[in-house]
Amino acid sequence: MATEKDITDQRDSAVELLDKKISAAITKKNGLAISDPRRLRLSTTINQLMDSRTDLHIQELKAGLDSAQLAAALARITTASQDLKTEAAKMKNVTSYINNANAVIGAATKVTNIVKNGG
Amino acid sequence: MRAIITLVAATWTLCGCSPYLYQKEVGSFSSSVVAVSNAVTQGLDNLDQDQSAADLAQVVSARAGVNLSTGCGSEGPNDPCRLMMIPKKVPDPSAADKFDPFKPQVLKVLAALKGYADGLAAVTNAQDRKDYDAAASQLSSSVAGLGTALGAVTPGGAAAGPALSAVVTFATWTIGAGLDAARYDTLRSAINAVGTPSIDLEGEKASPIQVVDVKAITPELSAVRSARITLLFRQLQARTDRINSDLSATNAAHVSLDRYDTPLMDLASLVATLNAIKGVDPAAVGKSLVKAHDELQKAVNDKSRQFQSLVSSLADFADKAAAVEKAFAKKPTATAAK
Repeated sequence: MATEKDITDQRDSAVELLDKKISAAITKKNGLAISDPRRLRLSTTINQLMDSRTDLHIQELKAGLDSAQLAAALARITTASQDLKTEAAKMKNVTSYINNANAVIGAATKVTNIVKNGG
Repeated sequence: MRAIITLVAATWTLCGCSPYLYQKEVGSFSSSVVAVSNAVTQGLDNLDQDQSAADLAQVVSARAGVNLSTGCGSEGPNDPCRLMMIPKKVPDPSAADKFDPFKPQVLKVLAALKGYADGLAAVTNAQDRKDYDAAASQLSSSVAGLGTALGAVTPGGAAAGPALSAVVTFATWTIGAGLDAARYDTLRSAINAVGTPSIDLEGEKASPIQVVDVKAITPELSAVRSARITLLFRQLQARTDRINSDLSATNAAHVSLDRYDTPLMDLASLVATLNAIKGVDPAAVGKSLVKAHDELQKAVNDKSRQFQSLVSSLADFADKAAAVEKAFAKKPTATAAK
């Protein structure tokens, strides 16, 4: 049974092979006279080869996105992100609490001063 | 009291336990992650324009009759308008169509990576500590003011203000130091969780950040790059085929500026865009991301604070991320062939 690495290696080889075929087709086209009708046929062939190469990259992307390994990695990254944000929020919450306390103490001080000065 | 606090604070800083020591480095890492994410999304967004330009160039090149896809008359946002050469009645699947089924997964990965970078930035944000210190200092003054006011109306309470202020200063300093320590621990713990090999990948253990690179970031960049190269080349080829067929149909000396010079000059920007995209090395971008994170991990675990390797890794990642973002943002700028 093919391993994950075998499949990746085969895909990489196929991309390399298509690269070579595309280059060969462009070289062949460049060697033809500009009036040669085979030029246009080669254009179509080159487009098809390039589409196939892109399809291989898209297949690799799809396989990666669907992999269990990526799901596990994203779960750990998401947990770490949540921990970081929760911890960062604590200092802001305490700061906010102190600012509220400051407001309360400021009001209490004003009241005390009013009492001190006999209303 | 102040001398003791200063001494303890200095010792705290020297032991390298402050999360704020890494603010600049984390900021650089975070910006580069955003640049890579932007590259992927902009590259995907540009596929529609690449496709339209390639379709148009092919129709113009063939001097064929033109059909409109049903999407041209539909209000559906997922059915774009496409030009086709007669006799074609249904357009071939576009590059964007091929990405559509799993675009939400692509965006989810990018969001997770950006969320992590945001979290790192949040926990190393020194402004939070400045805001806390300002609030704590204000609290100390407020308590002193209240104590003094109360002392004036309470017999023997005149010293209450300064004493309360000292207690509050010590308490808020202790709380602040505790919060800093917790931030630092969380920073290190998070970076270790994301950077330590723990997932089976092709027979070896890989870290979550490595897995995200191998399974998502490099393939995303590779696929977008390939799709854009295919469409830009298709447009370029159609345009050059048109120029060549015009030349072969007419004596070269009699080909007008409109049919030779102008279309040929238009190709310059297209070639520049194609070369910029070809210049991107997706695997190198992905490796640079992992290397920068590895060095960040070493730095938060290393009290000797030797950051040279971290700084150079972050600079390399920043360069590569900026380059891919710039390249993938380029549009198929050549105007339609005459």
